[in-house]
Amino acid sequence: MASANLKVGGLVVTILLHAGLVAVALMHMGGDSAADSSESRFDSAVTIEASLAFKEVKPKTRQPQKQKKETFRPPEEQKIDTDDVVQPEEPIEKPKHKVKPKPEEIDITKTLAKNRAQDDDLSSTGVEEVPKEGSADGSKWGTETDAKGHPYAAELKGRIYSAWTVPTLETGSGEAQGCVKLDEDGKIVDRHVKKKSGNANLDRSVELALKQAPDMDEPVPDELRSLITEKGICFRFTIEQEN
Amino acid sequence: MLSIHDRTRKLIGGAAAALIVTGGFGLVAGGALAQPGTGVVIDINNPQRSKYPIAVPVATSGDPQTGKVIATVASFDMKVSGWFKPVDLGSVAGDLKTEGVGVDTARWKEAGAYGVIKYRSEVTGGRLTIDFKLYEVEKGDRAVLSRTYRGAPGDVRKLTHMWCNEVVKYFTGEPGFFGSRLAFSAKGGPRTKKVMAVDFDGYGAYSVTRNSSINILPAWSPSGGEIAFTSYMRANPDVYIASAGGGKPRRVSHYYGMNTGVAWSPDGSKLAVTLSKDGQPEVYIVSASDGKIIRRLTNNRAIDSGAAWSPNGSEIAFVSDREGGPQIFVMSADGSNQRRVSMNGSYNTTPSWNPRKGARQLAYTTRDGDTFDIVTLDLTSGKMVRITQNEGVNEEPSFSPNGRAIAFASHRPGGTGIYIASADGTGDAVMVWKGWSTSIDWGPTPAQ
Repeated sequence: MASANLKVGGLVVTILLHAGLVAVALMHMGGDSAADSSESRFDSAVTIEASLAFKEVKPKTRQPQKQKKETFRPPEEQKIDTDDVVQPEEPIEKPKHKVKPKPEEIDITKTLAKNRAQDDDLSSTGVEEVPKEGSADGSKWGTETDAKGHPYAAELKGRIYSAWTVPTLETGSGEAQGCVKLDEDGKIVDRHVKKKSGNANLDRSVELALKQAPDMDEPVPDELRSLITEKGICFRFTIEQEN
Repeated sequence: MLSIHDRTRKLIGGAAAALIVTGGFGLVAGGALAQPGTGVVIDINNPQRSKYPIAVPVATSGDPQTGKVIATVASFDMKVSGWFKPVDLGSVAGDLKTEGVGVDTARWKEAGAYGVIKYRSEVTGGRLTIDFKLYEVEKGDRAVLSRTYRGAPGDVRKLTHMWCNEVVKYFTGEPGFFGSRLAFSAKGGPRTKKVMAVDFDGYGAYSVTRNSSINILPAWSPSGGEIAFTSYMRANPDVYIASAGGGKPRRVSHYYGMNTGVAWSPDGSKLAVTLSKDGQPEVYIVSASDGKIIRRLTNNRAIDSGAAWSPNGSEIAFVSDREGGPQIFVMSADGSNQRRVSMNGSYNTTPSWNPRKGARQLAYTTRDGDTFDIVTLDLTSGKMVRITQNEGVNEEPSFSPNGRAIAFASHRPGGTGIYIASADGTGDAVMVWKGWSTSIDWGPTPAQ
């Protein structure tokens, strides 16, 4: 019996030195905590063997970090159809008065030409306080590309995007279109999937995005009222094939 | 701080603004939303990704107890699959009795579901029959998948697991891991440890070993029919193989010194084991039938142990302290091309190879400060993903049969036991077995 115990004892030493997992098991024989046993798993072996065959390897200073819960990432790029745009051929005269026109009196062409000229002017003078990316365009979702559009629309896009999630198991591609109408206060009052993709998961995701998108915080600006509250504004949702 | 209105007035400009403001004019008639092919269209792409919302309501007919078990099992399977998230049934309006095994798609859409599982069960003549149906609400009220399973009334969990494997396969093209089992080492009597097996969801636990000794490090055979383990039942740590259901084990490797750390070759004919017969622990390949040494794979003055075979059998991962501390190494199955692959931290052990076909991914235990956590490492890209963090001590990972989940031993405030987490590092781990346990090994999914 004594010799058997001695043999087991010798083996315990061997295992502690030479096998992490076996060491863990033996340490637990004494009812040690799991953490304690984990600590001991390879430690003693390291010390001894290091003296025999040590080759320094500098570890990375920071361990990888666990993924956070899925977080919203703003879109990288916004594309807007340009088919119906009519570029002004003649320079537009400045308005003679500064009184804010009523919405129905806005001359869109003149207004846009004016602001386009201002944009060009800002670019040419290199005004640095206008950031290339970010929120100064009027939308916290926006990029510089968005800033070329209307900040209210960019904000609306961002809110819809924030509600758009596609199941991970969907690896196919597709393109669907969904449209919304807002009331004058910025509340989404009508929504519908205008063009389905045939991809059930994409189509379902678009339907849910339109349903769950948060309302706007501010009323629809006058110049967009007709479009957003009466006609509706549409979004093209695209997913690409995943490898 | 400018309001949106103010900024609108200030910033309206540019070609895109022209589109947004003018593009919709005249494109929509009668106040309806824009018609296809016309109007303002703003592109949105690169969506966030999420798990698939699926509803598993309790059947409104049949035996209530059986119906409840089916719903509970199916919901759990979906939750831990890595692909799905159960829909909160509290948000479902109306009386489901009117639906039966069909669906009112409007109701489930309103509840936020993408898919719905319905079923009907009955016991006739001592036999249980379950009709399952899967619906995608976007595709209407016709089931996209239907299966009927029959068995003994006690097979309700097993039959439900089989159905859930079919659901996962329908959506992903690969089967789930439901119905598989975990093997692990647990405390036995005084100064003893036993090898146990349990369904992956914590049900049906039983003891594989029945001796009064130390039994550790179980490893499922590729077929799932046998479990190899290290036992001190004859004083020396030798390798034994027993039927997965228990029974008398046979000793296959009993060389002088330790015989431990078994990993089966994918074809089940060979074992990678750690032997110290010549002094230093080294990794060897031995025959699974008689333990005869086929090849010695490592040969140096350091400790080499903890082998894990790649799913195609061409490579073996192992632990070595040849560079100062325990690190993960990979070599070809013939012992050549040995190189270190774990470069994070100073202490990495217990590699598990993702069994998914073509995968070159390891999970292992890493020490981070004063605790241990689970990470995965893609050997091709070098990408690492952290599976646990700030959740106590987490050790000894083992991949699910399809590589989508990882089981590991954890000692955390929520309880000590075996947990399952998604292998992509998302979501929270779920406890499936409560109690001290170590040497976790996840067995194969039984044939359907």
